[in-house]
Amino acid sequence: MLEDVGEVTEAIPIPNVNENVLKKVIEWCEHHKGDPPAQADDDSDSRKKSSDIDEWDQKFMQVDQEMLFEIILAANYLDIKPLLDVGCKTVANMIKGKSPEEIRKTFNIQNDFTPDEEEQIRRENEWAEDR
Amino acid sequence: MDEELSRFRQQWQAEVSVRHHQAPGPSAPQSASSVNKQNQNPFASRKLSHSSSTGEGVEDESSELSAQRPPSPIAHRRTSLASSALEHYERAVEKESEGNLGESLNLYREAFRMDHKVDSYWREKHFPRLPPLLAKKMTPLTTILSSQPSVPASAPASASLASGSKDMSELIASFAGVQIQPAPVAKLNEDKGAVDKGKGKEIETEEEEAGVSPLATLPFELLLQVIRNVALTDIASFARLAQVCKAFAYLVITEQSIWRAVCEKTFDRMIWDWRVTVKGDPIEKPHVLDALRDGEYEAEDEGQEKREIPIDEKEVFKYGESWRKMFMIRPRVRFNGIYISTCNYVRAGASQSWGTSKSWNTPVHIVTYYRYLRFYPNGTVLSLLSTCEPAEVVHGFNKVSLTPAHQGGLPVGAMSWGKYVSKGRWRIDKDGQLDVETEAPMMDKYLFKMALKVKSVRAGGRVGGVNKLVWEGFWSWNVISDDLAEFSLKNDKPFFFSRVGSIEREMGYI
Repeated sequence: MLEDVGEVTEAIPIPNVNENVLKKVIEWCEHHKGDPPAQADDDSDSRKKSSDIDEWDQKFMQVDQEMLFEIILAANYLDIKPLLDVGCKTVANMIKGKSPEEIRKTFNIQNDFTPDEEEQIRRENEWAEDR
Repeated sequence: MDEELSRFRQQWQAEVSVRHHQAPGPSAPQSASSVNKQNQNPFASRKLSHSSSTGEGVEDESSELSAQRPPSPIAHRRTSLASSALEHYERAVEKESEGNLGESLNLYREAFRMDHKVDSYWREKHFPRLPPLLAKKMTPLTTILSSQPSVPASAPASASLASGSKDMSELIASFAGVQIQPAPVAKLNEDKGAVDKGKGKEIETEEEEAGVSPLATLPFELLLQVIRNVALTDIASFARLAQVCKAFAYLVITEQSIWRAVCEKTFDRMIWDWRVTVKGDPIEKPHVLDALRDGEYEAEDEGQEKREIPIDEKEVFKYGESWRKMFMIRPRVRFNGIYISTCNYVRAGASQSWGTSKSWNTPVHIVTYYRYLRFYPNGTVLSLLSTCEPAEVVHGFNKVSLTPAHQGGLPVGAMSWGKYVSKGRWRIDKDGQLDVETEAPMMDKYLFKMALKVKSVRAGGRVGGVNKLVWEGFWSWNVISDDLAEFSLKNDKPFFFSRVGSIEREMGYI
């Protein structure tokens, strides 16, 4: 299917994917076209570590945030699971190890808690810090 | 007077350094009440380098002098970092919290010698008067607490040892129960009116106000996939996500599918029955091969009810159908750090004569020692008993940097405690009974058996967290004569879990 998309781009309308993103997606597909078919495609066990993104993919995903999310959306739309997977892992890695404030900054999220609520939530999840 | 004092100090110092080199003789952290007469105490050879005497207390007599002079050379030698009384005091508090009473006492003594009001300075610095913020917070929280009709059965009755946070931890225990209920966000958005739209929409509405957030553009399934990825690789980061905004708080706390995946991954790594020998070699059929070393012990277990319980809907029912709660309180062994038990015991020292002044004091040694346990997901365990402090031990406490004790060798640059590390194995059952069997360091014919139980700690505002191991029994076993001797656990304290960054990296967390 990946091949199909690559070969007949012009024939199939892909309204949700712009040209730059599609170029990236095709670049990724070209690089991975020799990959053995994904053994354990369904989630969880096979990919316990999310740091196990291969080096090429890591470099490939070094794009601005807008592009990163565009790629994820495109991969989802085009049903390219392995690429979607790499994309989600990349975002996950951007979340891990950050403080709540850093996460808000990274993804431009507004803090909509009152101070009291925030404190309550913090305490509620305190146990996990020691995990 | 001054002269006399300094002479005394010199003498004392010499005495101490001599004693330090000799390292006090055999004294066992636990007294083996052994059936086995020739049973050599396994810990006899340990150095008790933390011993100290109350000798210097004598100098208190001249407190008006000492208040004016600079810290004594002894103090400098021991704690070169601390220069003021307050610093001494702070370090003492720190040592005390580590459980190292010997060091701690010395430092307290030093601090008070330098300034007898040091404790009030310390209090002023660390607990300044009027904590109005805290006081203010306490009130509404208590109100909420009392208005909560159903406090979960697991709510700790006597929750906290720590200062004044008792109400808080009780509150959280009850709060946890409430939040986990399927009712959407009601609790979180109390003040601003409930946002009870669909989960996905909720995020979008919220994000829209804040302009463009890329996470908000993700369809809900994709967002789930992202945070599931976070949860499965770093549960602390996942939980922290809840503090980002209401939508995440709701997701993190209520998303059952993710917590279920976390539970499955976590409890799947428990070792329900011996999978390796004490030396770490794999066992094909546990019960049969075990007869080699553990025949009787093993036989007792046979025919009993199953040690393992599958992770399924039936099991989660026990936890109020909350996978999150199961993860929080179901007993398990943790791999991303080290379990440490800090023990102190006091032992009377021989009274010593210092020059002419014979019976000035009776020395008492406060000995601090530590037990370390590190569990591996393959069923092996590393065990160490040492007077070395955690900071010295934790980062080197792995299989790679250690030559096993039974080979008698040490790798180049090994730590002083390296040769005392012994290999072993572990297994756990559904009730959190944890069996650990290890080799006895330097003594081939013995095995140690520890019976521990996994408990959770609820203190200082913390909920859940299965990070404590309490003792249920401790034996040495002479493999040759087949004698089992029980150790007294008089001095032994529970193990507490500590995450260790280098271990997390080694194990592939984060």
